[in-house]
Amino acid sequence: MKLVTKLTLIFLLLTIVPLAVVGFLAYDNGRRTIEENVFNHLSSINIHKEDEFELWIETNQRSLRELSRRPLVRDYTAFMSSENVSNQDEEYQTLYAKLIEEHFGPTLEEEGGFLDLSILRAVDGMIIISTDTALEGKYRESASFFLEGKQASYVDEINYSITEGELVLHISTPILDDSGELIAVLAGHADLAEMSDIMTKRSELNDSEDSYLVNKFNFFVTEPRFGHDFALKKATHTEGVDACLLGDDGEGIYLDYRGEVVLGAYHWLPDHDLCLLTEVDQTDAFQPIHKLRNTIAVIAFISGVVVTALSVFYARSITRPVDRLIAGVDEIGSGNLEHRIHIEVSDELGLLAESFNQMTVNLAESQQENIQLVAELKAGSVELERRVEERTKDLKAAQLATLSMMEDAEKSRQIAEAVSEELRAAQIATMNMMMDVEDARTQAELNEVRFRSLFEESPIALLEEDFSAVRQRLTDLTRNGTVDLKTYFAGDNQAIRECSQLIKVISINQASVKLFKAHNQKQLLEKFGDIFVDQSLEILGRELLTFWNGEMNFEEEFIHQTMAGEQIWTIVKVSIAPGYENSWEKVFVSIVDISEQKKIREAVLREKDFSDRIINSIPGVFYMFDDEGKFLRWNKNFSQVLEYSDEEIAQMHPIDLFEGEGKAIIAERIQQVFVSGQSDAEAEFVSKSGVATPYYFTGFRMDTEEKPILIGTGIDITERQRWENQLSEKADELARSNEELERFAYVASHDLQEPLRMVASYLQLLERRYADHLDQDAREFIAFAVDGATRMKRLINDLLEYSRVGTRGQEFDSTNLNLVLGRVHVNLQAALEESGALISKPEMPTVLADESQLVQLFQNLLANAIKFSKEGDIPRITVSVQDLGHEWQFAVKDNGIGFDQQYAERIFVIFQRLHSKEEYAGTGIGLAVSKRIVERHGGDIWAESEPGEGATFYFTMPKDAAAQ
Amino acid sequence: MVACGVTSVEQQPDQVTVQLKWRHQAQFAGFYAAVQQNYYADENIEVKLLPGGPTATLIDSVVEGGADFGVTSADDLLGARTEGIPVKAIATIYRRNPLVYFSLPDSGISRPQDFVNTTIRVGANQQVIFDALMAQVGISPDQYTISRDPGLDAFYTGDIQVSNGYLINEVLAAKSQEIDLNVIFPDDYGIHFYSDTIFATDEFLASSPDLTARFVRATIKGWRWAIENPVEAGKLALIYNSDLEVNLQVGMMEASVPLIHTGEDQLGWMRRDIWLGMQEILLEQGVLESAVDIDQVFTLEFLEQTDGK
Repeated sequence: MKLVTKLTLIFLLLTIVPLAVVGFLAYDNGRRTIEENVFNHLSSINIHKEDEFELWIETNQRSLRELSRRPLVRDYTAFMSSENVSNQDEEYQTLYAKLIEEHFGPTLEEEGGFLDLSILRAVDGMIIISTDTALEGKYRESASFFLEGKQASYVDEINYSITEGELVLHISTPILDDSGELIAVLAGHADLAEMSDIMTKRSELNDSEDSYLVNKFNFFVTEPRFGHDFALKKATHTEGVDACLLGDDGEGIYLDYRGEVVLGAYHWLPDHDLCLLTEVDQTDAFQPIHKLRNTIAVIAFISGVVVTALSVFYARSITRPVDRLIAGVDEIGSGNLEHRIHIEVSDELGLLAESFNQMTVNLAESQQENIQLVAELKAGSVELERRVEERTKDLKAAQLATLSMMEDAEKSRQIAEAVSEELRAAQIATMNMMMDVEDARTQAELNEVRFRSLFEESPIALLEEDFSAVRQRLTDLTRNGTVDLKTYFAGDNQAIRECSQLIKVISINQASVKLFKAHNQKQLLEKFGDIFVDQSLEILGRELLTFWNGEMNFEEEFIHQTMAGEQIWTIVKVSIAPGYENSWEKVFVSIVDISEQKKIREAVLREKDFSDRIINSIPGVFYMFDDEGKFLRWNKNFSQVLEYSDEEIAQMHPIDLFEGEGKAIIAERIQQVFVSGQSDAEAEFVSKSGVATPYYFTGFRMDTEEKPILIGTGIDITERQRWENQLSEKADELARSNEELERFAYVASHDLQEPLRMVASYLQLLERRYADHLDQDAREFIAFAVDGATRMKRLINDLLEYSRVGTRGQEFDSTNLNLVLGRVHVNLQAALEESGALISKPEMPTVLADESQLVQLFQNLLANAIKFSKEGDIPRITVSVQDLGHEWQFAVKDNGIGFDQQYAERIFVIFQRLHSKEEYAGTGIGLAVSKRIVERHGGDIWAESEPGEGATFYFTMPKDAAAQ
Repeated sequence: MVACGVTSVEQQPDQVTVQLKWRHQAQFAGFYAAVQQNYYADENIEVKLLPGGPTATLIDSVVEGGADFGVTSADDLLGARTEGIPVKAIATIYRRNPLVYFSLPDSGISRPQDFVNTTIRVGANQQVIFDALMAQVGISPDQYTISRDPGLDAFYTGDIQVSNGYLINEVLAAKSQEIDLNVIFPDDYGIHFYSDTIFATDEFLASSPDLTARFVRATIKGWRWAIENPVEAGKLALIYNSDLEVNLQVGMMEASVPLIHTGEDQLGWMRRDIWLGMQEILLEQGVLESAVDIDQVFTLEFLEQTDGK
């Protein structure tokens, strides 16, 4: 930006800103003052108009009241409204004329305020006399001014009368006879033009001043200044109206019904439910302040022009030398160091030009020096370049030499590696050769040693014995007459022992020593007889008999005893060596220890015995068969139930044990077991004699090494089936009876309602039609009757509601309890606001439930908590929820009056109350319904409390909500 | 002050079907306005308006579930209730019945008493109100002749002296021909019959109180808009039936305003006294055989949840 412009702007700013600030402050201040004045004025207009309006109403009311109290008016009215007078009657006509001419006419003419006056018969609201004859014979029996006017002087709301086709305001007052009995209502149709006049009368302060009335439904009731035919046809929602209809008085600047900005004051007339507004246009109101604003603007404009001119002139005088200075500097800058700046002025600018000139001289000198220096530098740099070139050459040579050296070194390394590889191969070959030599040498020695120790080190115990003495003894025995050796041995172990002692052991190997746990061969030879125990003697007896009978070999299990005294099981094989058949001199014995196998076998046997006992002790049948249906094992029950012998069962197929469809079921289930591992079935077992018994079978597949087998059990379910049938019959019966009960409750309460409605409705009719003919007692009796009917209706309704929990419930659906509580809150809004109750609740879960019933449940519990609060206390209610895994537990806790825990059960019973109905309203249904709802959802409900300590109601709700 | 409140959750709008009393026309402008001004949408309701017609069975449509709410006359509802059909009024739109009697300007007939020795054209459906009116002023059936002439030709030629008709139809049409008919209002003779009345079944009201409250609130708001903007409201009817004549619809809406809103009570409001009076007349006329509990017939519960205007 140029200096001239800048300076001009600065001067302008310095002038305008203070002017603007001062101007604005003056304007704002003035504006406020005017605003305040206008508002005050508007409010005062409102107050004034209200007074006028009230005065107008009051005057009209007073003249109406005065008219109604005139004895003649009362007498005439009394006569004319009596039932047995016809309006054709001569006296009627006379009185009618007198009433109109002497009373109503003058009032209308002299007092003003009313368009017409009418008398309405008290009994039915018919207009019997009116200054507007068109109205006579019409009825106003349900109009507020008639109904209210029967009691006292009344001012109706301004409304649109469809039959009169215009806006009307009725004022009414009762006409009483001498004894104070009501005979008629005197009604005046107020002249709304007068009211409009009050509103439209202006103070002349502002041209746009506008006053009007708006009713509580936002509709105009008088014509605003800028509207035509607005009354009760147009509604207005301006800021002023909306604030006013909230019952406030005030003022503000807002858009009016035309969309113009206005200053308005509004005033609420509570007695008439009307809002009185007076407004002026903002442009109009601020007219004076606008003049001030314009003056300030003109002054600002003129000052601006003057300041601009002055500042341009002054700025020029500054900028001219500066321009010259700039031109000079440009010249010097372009290289002309001979140039000199000529400025005549002697101020700072002159000095600056002088300094510039001096600086130009100095610049020229130093430029000369620079040129020399550059020349020198150029020479130096050529020398340097040359040197660098030389160095580079040397460096390249050195680099080449280094490279060739490195190539030589790599070659040597490769040769060395090849030599060492050859050396290593030669070493391995030598070592293998040496090892082969050594191996051959060791093998020869080893064979010799093993051959020598083979016999002695046989792992089997071997003995060589001589039985010749035994044979001699046996021969002696038979010869002495003991013919039967078998009998002889059987009776006497001692005899066998003696025989055993006759056996001579010739040689024994090391394995024998080890087997019998002897210290050495010598010890075993000396104490050889000790290896026989009583049991082994029996076997020895058999062995001897075998040989005696001419057999050469004997093999049997023995029980021996070691030198250490422990028993071992063995298999002993005894053979008479060939060639010694008649002398028994050489007998070979080999003994193998089978104690371990024996133990295992015994264990297996015990196990089998055990499993036999088990399967036989099973109360039902047990069986095993393979995948071809061949029975492998079964218990006694199995054969007993089926009446087949074990042999027969072994030949049968499982399917053979069933008949009819049972065969198909069982075949399919067997298949299932073999495929998927297990199954079960219910079918009738058919015995050999044809008896069918219902059974429940379960089967499992067991995979053995050879093939899969089926293990199964079955139990007799004859009893169970009988119980099941009985149970289902009982359940059906119960459901039927429940249903009947519910239907009964529903029908009963529904049908009871009908006659009750009859009673209530005819009582209502009675009250309506004959209210005027009934004395106080009769009215009271009717009230009692209506009250009783109402109470009974409530009881029946409650009963209906109770019965509907079960019969009219909705399907369960996913229900967000936060929404449920929200709904309850809305439903209980009135009670909550009235009591000021504070409810706190956590984030609630979503459950599977009947939403509307849960709303009812929470609503009952919360409403109860509010209802039974302590007088004077704010009810504080806490809703909480606890996750018990399979179900939710909810609690509603209050700080109310509580109850004695002994009543905790009773409160859930229908129509049970702890308090009289005068104390706390209600029929005692809420908790009973709550209980039914909770039970329908499969939960429990209970309460804990102490008198005066508040109460907590708990209920649970299963998560799967299986019950319906 | 209260810790629990309604969590605002984006929910699918509730679907609501309304059985209108007659074919689409400005008579239902408030419903149209509530749709067009999104008042229903603001309450998260999607409304379907079913037109009625000469063959429509309004109460059955609602009872059988074809519609959730219906619009019919109050006497229709009283009749249904007496027969044990559980329907209940929740708001009355036309609180002044537009059904009137009219005669030619120079006929000298300006009150029911003048009907003696005349021929009166009365629609079959409107006979009850006529009989009630005659009973109220003490004229017996032998003192006049009833005509069921379908058109108004005979009325304008003078062969029929009195006709019944609607303020917002026949009377309006005459006015547009610059004929200022004498109008006799049954309202002036104690015959107050609520006309278009919104109703639903007891069951629906009990099971969906929240939805009903929202529906009533939005509907009343729609009517409020319609009476404040009668010209625009009248034109809305053309959205539903483009064959309608726009000036007639606007005229109908403008003429309806005082029947809907008079400056007394809030929109839709019903007075117990009027209900009792209607029942009394219907009982006297033998239309109803027995009385019903009037509190079963209507409820102000839902109107009480509106803004009261």
